[in-house]
Amino acid sequence: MTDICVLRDITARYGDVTVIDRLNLAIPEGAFVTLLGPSGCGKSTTLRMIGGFETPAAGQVLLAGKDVTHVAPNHRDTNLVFQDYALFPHMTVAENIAFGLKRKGAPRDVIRQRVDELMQLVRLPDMAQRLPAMLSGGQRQRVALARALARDPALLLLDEPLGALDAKLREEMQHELKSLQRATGKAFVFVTHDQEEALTMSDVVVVMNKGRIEQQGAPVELYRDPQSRFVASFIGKSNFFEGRLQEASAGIGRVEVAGGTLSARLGSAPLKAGDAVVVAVRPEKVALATERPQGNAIEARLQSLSYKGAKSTALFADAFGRRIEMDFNPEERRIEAGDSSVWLGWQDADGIVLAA
Amino acid sequence: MTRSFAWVGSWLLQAYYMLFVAFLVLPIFVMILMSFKNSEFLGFPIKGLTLDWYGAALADPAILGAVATTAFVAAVSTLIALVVGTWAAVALERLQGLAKAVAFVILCIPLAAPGIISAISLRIFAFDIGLELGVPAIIMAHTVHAVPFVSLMVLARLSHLPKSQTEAAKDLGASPITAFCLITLPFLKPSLIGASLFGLLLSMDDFNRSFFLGGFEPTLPILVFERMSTGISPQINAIASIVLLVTLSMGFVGERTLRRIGARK
Repeated sequence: MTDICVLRDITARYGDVTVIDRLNLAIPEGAFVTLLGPSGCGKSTTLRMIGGFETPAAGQVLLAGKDVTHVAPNHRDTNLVFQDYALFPHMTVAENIAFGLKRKGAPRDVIRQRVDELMQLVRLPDMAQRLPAMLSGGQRQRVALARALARDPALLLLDEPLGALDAKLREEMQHELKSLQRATGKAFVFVTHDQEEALTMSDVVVVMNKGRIEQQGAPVELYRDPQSRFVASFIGKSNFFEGRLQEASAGIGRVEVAGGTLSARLGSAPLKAGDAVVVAVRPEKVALATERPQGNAIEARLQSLSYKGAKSTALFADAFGRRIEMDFNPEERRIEAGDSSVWLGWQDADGIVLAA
Repeated sequence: MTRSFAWVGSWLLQAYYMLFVAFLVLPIFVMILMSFKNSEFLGFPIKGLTLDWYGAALADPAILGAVATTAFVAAVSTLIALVVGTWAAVALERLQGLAKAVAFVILCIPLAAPGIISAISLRIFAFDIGLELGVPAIIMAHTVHAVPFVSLMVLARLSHLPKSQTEAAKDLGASPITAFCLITLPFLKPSLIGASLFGLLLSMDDFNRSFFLGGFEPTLPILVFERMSTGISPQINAIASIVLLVTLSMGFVGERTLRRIGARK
C-alpha cells in the first residue's frame, strides 16, 4: 500500500512554544487514520498542517508524492471538515455543497448532478433549498461532509467533527463515517480526543502526547500492547503497579512491587533489571477470589461498586494505598459490599511491564 | 399605608414620561405646523393652512440645486467611506496585540475631534494639497468623517466572523479575494447597510465641514443657514419638514432591511 500523505520531521511552534516536535507520520492510501490525544497534544495542528492552514517551522508535508509544505489550502488536494462545520449561513445546502465545484469552474449540469449524488450519499435528500440555520446538528454535519467530499479530494481531513453532537447521534455518525469512508475508498484523517471514537472507526490510531507520537497501530494492537504508561491509561483503562524490574526472561518480567512480586509480559521497549517500571493490568482482566490465588495476587478491600449494566465496576484499595479497578458483569457474579479483605489476581499474560 | 398611595407614584411617572416626550417632539411638531401656515410670519395664532410653501420650496432652483449637491456629496462620500472603512477594518482585524490597539486608537481620533476643529483642519489640509474649495473638497471631508464610523461598525461584526468560515472557503478552492467577496462581505452585509445609512445621514446633516470646505454650490444645511440670515420664512420650515420625512423614511427602510436579514439567519 502506498502512502497518500507523508509528514517528514515536522516541527511547529507558536512563538517560543514547540507544539509539534519532529513528527513523522505516513497516511496509507484508503485508510481511516485517527489522531488521538488530549487537548493541546498537537493533533489539530498536525491536521491543519496537512490541510495547509499552518506552515511547519521545519520539515516537509508530502501529498501524493509531491512536496506541498508551502502550498496554500486552495491549491491543495485535501478538504477539511471543520469542528464547527463552517457551513456558509447565507447559502442553501445545495449552494454550500456546490461551492468547491464552482471554484473549479465545473459546468452547471455537472455541478447539479454531483450535488444530487452527494446529497444521496450523506442521506440528505429534499434538503437542497434549506439554509443551514434550518438544519439539525446531525444534518449540518452531513452537509459539511458532502461539501468536503465534493471536490473528490485525495485526502479528507476531519477535525473533531462529532464533538458537538449528543451521545446517541454521535455513535450513529461514527458508523456512518466509517461506511462513508469505505464507500469512497478515500483516506480519512480524523482528529479526536475520544478514545472510544478512535477505536470504533479507525484502521490506524496515532496516539499523540505533547507534540509527539506515543504509539501508532491498529486499535487492537494499541489496546493489547500499549508501549507506554500514557497509552495504557489513555486507551481504555488500566490499573498500574509501580515497582522495580527484578529479572526479565522469555518475554516475562518479574517486578518487585510494594507487598510482593508481580509477573507480566514485557512491553517492546528495552528494559533491564533494576529499571523503574509499572505493571499495567486492564480492569476486565482482574479476577476476584476469597483465597489467595496462584501467581499474581493483591490483597484488597472493596471501596465502592458502580452499576453500569453488563460492564459494572468494582473499586478496591489495598494496604499500600493503591486503587484497583475491576470490571464485572452483575448478571454473572455478585459482589457483596463488605469490609472483609479479598484477593485480586490475573494471568501473567494479562499484565504488561512498561517503563515508569 | 404606602400601598394605597402607589397609584400616585405610577401616575406621576406616566405624567413625567408624557412631559418628557412632549419636550422632545414639540419643537419639531411646531416647526412642521408652521410650514403649513398661510402667512409670512412664524408664530401663533394660525389663521389658515396652505401647501404654498412646499410648492415654492420645490420650485426654487437654488433649493433643488442644493438638494442635488447634498445627495451627490452624501452618495459619493458614503461609497468611498464604505470601501476605505471596510478595508481599514479588515486590515486592523488582522493585527495583533499592541499594534492592533494603537491602530484602533488612531482610527478613533477623528471621532473624538470636535466638528469645528475637524472642519478647520480639513480646510487647511485641502489648501495644503491644493484642493479647491467646493464639492470635491466637501466629499473629501465627509469621507474622512465617515470612515471611522464605517470601520467601527464593520469591525464590530467582523470580530464575530468565525475564522473557520474563510478557511473553509479557501479549503474549497477559493482564493483569498474570492473568499472575501463570497463569504466575508455577505456576512458583513447588515453592518454595511447600517454604515451606509449612517454615512448618508452624517453627510446630509453635516454643517461644519460643508461650510468650511464649500464653494459656490451650497449643500442644503448651508443654504438653509444662508436663507435664515436674510430672514426666516415658512419656506425653510417646508424644506426642513421634507428633510425630516426623508430622514425618517431612510431610518425606517434601514430598520426593515436589517430586520429581514436578521430573520433569515
